[in-house]
Amino acid sequence: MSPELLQLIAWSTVDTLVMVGLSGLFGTLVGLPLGIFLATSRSNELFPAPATNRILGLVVNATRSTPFIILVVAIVPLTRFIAGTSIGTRAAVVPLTIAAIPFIARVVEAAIREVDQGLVEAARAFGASPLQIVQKVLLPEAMPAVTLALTLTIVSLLGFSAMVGAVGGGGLGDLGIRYGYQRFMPEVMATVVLVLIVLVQGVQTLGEAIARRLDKRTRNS
Amino acid sequence: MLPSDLPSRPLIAFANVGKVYPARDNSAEVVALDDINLQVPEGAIVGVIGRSGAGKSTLIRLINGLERPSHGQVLVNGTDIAALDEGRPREARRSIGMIFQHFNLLSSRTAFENIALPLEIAGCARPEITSREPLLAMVGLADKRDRYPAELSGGQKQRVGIARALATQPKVLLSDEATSALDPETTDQILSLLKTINAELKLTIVFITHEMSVVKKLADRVAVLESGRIVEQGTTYEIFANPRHATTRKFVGSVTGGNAPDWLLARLRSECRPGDSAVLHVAFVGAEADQPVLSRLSRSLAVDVNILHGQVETIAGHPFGSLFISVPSDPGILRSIIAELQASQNTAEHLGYVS
Repeated sequence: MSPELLQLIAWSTVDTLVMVGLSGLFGTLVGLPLGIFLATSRSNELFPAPATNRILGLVVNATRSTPFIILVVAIVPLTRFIAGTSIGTRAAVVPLTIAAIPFIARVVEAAIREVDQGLVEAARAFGASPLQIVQKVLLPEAMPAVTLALTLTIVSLLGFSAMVGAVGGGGLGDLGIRYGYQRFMPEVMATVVLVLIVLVQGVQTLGEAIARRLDKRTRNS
Repeated sequence: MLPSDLPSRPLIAFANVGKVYPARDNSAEVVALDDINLQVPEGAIVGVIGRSGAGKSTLIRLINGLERPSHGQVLVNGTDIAALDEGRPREARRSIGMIFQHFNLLSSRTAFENIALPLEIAGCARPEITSREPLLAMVGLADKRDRYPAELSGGQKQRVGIARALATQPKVLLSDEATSALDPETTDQILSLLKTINAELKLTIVFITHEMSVVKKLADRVAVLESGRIVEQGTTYEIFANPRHATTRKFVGSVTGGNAPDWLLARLRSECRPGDSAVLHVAFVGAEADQPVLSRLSRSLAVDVNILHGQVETIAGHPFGSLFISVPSDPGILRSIIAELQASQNTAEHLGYVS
């Protein structure tokens, strides 16, 4: 492979990391609170708002059931409004974030619902406010599961990021399609796939290691 | 003196309290508690015993406002917790500690961090939180300060739970089946720790349990709950010495040997055949329990008394005995035996005959 191609692969890797990193970050900033709200707002829960809960649940489901490639195209006006353009790496962050939010919200919701209700009751018995219960009980106890959920999200985003290549989003997926497929350069395709495998493996290993460190439920001191 | 009179004004008082859970989609209305009247004197240890579903959990949760009564009033230290505005019940709860069957410790916090939780919730500053470290020594866990719950045994976890409940220096400790998940030996250790705390800190304790042995070891007073109603209440000794309600008798019998053993029940008949002996159940209470009642009986009426089954022990500091005996079945002699036994404050019940 020529040095130019190698450099192209390197830049595409950076593009992918930027897209996934930013959309993961923005997705978490919105998705985490949304997930907490979804897990605590049914009737008889900490912040009872069953109507809002149902509506947000519907929106989340609708977003999640829209195929990503259709979502990318459908929100082009929004992308242009936020990012100022609808093509390129910067623009790709918008649909990736939109796709990440409901995903993160659902996995965070599941992680929080896993927390033993007895702990919530104990905190209430000590006079904790609903906000204190989220802060001091639900989040710390759900942290190992939330970490694994975010790892899963990042891995999914790596996959999604390959698709934004189709609308000129840049990154490894884009490179694979343009060089590996359209110009029929199997060595580029293979390298792209290899880099993605390494990235996924790395993210997964790191996520699991952090989750294990946070998890004090087993005797492994 | 039996502590049957209430020495001081009640710290906790239930007045005609009822709790009804309204009907839901696929379940009918549930009456969890009905017309509960219960007083807990300051410094007392009061036990509420009942089977699963009797309403114990609801009852104890009314005290710290985790549940609200549908009717009636629950006063704690003169305050109606249910009538407090939003936010205020949280203040009130901080003067009531609670321990749980499954300990409910945060797995992500060490022993001392768990103890610190109620203090953080109450907004205490760091120095104040560290000043409670002696609590660890009080519950016998001075060396487990930085251990996570997963590294502790059940008994140690409950000790952390107790220290956590005491962190805010409450006046009342609520115990929700605190020993039900522990083995008998650990149970005894936790119960004696609770007794020590009651004596040293003058802490009022209300506990719920389904085990009469826990009531026997811990309670000064006991209320028996069945289907949401208190069917009997009194001092622990009164309840053990003279249980009136059938449920109470079952519970009492389960620990005092007051329930006849199966082999005896299988042989027992109601009609008397020639050569049969009569079977009596005798409960020895109070001062009489340490008197040689049976040998006196045997001498004064010149009858042979055969002990079939029995147990003598101490309940609430008083000796207590329960014996199944067989005596001659002649109706005249039987009457005088029962009369003699009852004359000395014991209860004697004629159960039937065995050959």
